[in-house]
Amino acid sequence: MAVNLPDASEKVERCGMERSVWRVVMLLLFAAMAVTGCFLSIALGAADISLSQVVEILLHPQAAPQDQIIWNIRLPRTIVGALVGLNLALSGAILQAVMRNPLADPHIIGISSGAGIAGITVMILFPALEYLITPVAFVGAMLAAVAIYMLAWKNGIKPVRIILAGVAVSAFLSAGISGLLVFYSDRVNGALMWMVGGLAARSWPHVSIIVPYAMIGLVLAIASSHYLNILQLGDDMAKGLGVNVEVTRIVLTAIAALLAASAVSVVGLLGFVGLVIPHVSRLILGSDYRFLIPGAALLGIAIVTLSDTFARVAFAPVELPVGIIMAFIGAPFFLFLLRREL
Amino acid sequence: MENMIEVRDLKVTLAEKTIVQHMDLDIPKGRITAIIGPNGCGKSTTLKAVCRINPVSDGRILLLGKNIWDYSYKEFARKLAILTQSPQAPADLTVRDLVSMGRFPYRSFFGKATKEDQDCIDWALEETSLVSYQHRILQTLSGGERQRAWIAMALAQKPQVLLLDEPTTYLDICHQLEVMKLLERLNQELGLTVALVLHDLNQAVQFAHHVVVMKKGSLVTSGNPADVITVDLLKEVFRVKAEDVFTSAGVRTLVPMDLYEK
Repeated sequence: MAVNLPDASEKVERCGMERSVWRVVMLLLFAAMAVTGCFLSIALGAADISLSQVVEILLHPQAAPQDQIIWNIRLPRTIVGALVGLNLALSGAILQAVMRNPLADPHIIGISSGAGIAGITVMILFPALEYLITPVAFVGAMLAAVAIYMLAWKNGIKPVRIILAGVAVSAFLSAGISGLLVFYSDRVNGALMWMVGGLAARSWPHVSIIVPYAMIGLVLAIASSHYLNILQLGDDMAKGLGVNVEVTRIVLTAIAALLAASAVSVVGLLGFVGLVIPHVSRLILGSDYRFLIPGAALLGIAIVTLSDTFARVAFAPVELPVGIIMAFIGAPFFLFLLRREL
Repeated sequence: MENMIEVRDLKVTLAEKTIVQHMDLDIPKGRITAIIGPNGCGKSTTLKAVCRINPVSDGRILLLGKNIWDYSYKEFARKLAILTQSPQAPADLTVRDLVSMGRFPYRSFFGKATKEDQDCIDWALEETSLVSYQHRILQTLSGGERQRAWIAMALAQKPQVLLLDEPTTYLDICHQLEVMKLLERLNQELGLTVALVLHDLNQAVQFAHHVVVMKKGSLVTSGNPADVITVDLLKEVFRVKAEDVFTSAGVRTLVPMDLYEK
């Protein structure tokens, strides 16, 4: 089964020119949403700071307490949220093409759990090595991906087997993570927050962890878009067109694992972003990865920053982890895809 | 006659099952070669081994005198194009987008499509009479038009040899002839070497210059289609009782009448 959406064809039955105009307009709209999401995430919160003040503080920072709130609490949190959204959305978009599976997502197939158990081991047992957390999480993510491939391999790869192997690997590793969190509950602040994925108290150190990986991942994802397009024709046709399918698949999985691992390193196991965002992007822009990649990146930024703002503001003074909001949106969406595609 | 492709003593084993053994195959340059044989005799498996999709357990395959595995991936795709049986495509792919994928073997990693790529895509669309369909969604086309779009993609690779796995299966008689006529024209006008798996033996006689007959994973015979495809061959290879019928123009056609007992 390919990454097919049956009724996308009816929707996008337009002539070439009109279609590219539509795509550009939609990308601009996504960009506007991303900017809006980031701005609202900076502007809204427990401390009441008016919109004009926020703009003033961003443009001319001073030493007032309000400036501290904007610059040291809200802005880094917004940047972390935006980049986590971007990374997970791109990771999911790549995995869906590489595994030829519409339900692939770093969280569902266990790559995030692999990154999570490796990352949390460093955090708890070797806190002095915290700067290594993303490389180690990346290794964990890759090992989980390899395990899933090997478990799912039986005369080729079937989408359903990948999902089932991923669920099993994910459950196994999550049990390990929970065990570690229980044994060392004194050493982890907000273990629950970490299990569902939350942005509380994320600040500049977290920004510096995720920024390099997000930038590298974004460039690589854009550069791989024509490989991702050709993989959608199936392995045989891709080989016929001169793609080294095995190596390409490993490299692309590594890029997806790197993106997911750096996101998991800073927010924990935030699910469904990698599943929902690429699909929405595909429904609107079509399955051409030259548009789908930037579309997913912008939507990822928009949705995570907006969801996190909602999670902070809607139930104040209680603050929900953004992962809960994403699961409320994502789980029904997953079922919708399951009924439609498998 | 010079050979585009030479297969010697090929053995292909997939999932611990040997499907093709001691298989020899010549695909002459500039000709149309039809590969025929009963279902499951290893025709597709052989074709996929030739285009490096299937691994080879033993034997050798030469393309233009050079071992196929000595070519780089993209170099190989610039020499040989393959059209597999019922290939898949994303539901919203346009004909032009599909054809443009045929230019992949000419692109560098960060490279953009060049003027030459665009010209080549236009040329491939023209050769397959798809210019007016180029912005249509592939899946909204009829089976025959869709098959032509895939052939256009293969042409955009500018290959010297085109391999097709049952290109006429699932098509009605009109679209079957349309595809065969197109391949015949590409062969005549461009000198393109064509090799295809066929089920219709009369089409093999009508369009092919060379025919290769397979049974149980190896070669039975090969040669001039009119000489090879006979009432006896149908008995030997397909267990079918057939008769020769001559049209008013004197063209011989094989008509299957009955089955021989096992």
